[in-house]
Amino acid sequence: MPIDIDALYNARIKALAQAAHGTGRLDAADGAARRDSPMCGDQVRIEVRVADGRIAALAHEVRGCLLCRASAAMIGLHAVGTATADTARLRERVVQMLAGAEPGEDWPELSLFVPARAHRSRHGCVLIPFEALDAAVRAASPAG
Amino acid sequence: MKRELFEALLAERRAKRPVALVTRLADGVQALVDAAGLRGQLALDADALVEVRRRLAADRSGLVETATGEVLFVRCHVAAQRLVIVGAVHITQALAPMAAIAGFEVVVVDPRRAFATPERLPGVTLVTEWPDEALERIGLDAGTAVVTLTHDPKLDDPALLSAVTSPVFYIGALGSPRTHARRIERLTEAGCTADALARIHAPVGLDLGGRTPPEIAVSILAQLVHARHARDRGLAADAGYAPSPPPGCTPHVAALVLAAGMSSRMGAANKLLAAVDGVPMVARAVDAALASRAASVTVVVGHEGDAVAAALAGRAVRIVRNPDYAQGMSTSLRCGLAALPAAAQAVVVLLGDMPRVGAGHVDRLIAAFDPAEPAIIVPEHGGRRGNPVLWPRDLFAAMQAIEGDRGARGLIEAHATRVRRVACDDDGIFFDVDTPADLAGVAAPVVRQRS
Repeated sequence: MPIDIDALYNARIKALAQAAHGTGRLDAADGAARRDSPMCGDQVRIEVRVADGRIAALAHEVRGCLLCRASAAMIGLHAVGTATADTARLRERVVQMLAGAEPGEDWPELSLFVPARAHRSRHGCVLIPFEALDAAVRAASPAG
Repeated sequence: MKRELFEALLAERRAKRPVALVTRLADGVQALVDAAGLRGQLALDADALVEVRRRLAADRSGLVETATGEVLFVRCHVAAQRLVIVGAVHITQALAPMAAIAGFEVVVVDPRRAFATPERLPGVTLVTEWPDEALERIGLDAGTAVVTLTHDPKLDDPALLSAVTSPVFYIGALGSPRTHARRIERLTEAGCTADALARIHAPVGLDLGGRTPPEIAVSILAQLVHARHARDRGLAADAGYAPSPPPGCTPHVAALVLAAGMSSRMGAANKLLAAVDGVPMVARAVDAALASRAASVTVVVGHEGDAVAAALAGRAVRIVRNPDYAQGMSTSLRCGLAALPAAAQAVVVLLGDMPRVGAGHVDRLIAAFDPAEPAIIVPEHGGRRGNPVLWPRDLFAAMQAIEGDRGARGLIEAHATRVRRVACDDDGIFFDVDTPADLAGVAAPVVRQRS
């Protein structure tokens, strides 16, 4: 399969990765989770504080490729304020988008990752920040 | 052997501390020597201790005769050197077992768990942390070598950043000269000094011409073995064994032949193709470079490039085409420098129209080159400077910045304090062919030219 690197690493993805919104650690996290991508090697750790059923603060640490860093930066940009009940749906939205569904209306930047659909080995790069987000939120929820 | 000493030796070995067991051959009395102290029945004077420790530092067992005529056998016990391979790739599958056989303790680092599996690398210690974190935990010391093979900058770069500021005895990185040039740019931006980056062997491995992963593994292991004995060679030289330096130990000096010009003053014929003693002029310059100690020969062609390249057929040179040759010599210099092997510490720039320059001239320049004090080395005869000139790598960027139909001569003035002159016996270093009259004059002196 010919790889269209330009589309995969488009300028807006590069800018998003470089902006690295939300990078760092929280002073006191309610929940944290770590995920990695066995094919690409990316490692993501996300910490959240939750209040009143919403994400009140978030920070992430990524060692990984451009796609993974951009995906985490998108979360850093938008996740604060998101209902904790929505993170599982967001994760599923990314799974569906990579499988071919429309990216949906949640976050506009999600459409930047549409070119990754064609590269199965890179799906994990986009997805694992969302998996880590959902896991961190669940870890923070009192009900477990 | 006394039980106490034996147990002390075992304890040192378990702790992986280097220690030498010294035996006086006359009576078998022994001592255990490390960097700090001396244990056992055998007394050693200060000179003997210094010699034993020198051998221990180089892991060189053998006989030592003291000033008083005693003969001692020094047996060094030094922990196995470690090889950290970043990237659980195909080359690694061959290199890990080979290096283990050669006595290295092998660790493979790769956060890509799909690759770093015991099925792919049976019996090898696998670490799936991010490379810089992994290397920090493993601990990089003077007994460790680091080789990066992932071909993925996000993994190789952090490993190299850690390695170049550590005391490891060897660093190698997979990738072509072009890949390495881009890597150098990134690592420089990340704050690495040129000295630190010069420690990286890239492309990794001795150039054996192999292509398959196991062949590349052999070339890497060969370079590792060479590096592992570097200190050893230093000791041998001190002791007067006078070993000949193996390949890779001498400075890497490349030769660059500029043969792209239009020879406008020669009329229609391309002077570079004109025969001198039956050999096209350009081939004479190239043959001089090939016969010299230069590690590689790169030729820049431009004007009538196909014909000039054809005149060099069968010669082991790299041909680079300069599409902008009409813009002058500086463009050829730029093209040629960009194509030199990344390992080149210096370059001798030869001109294709100087048929009386021989291998002897080139070798004089190379012999005068000291990587510890890289100078511009200029040949001289009767007080006049000539060509070719040897340029150290740190000036390549300045050479590439020259524009128009100029060579690098202006840089010699600009860096006058770094110029070293080397006397040559003949005037071949001045003789270039610009007109048919020059060409007519070349033949006779060439016959007399020393080889």
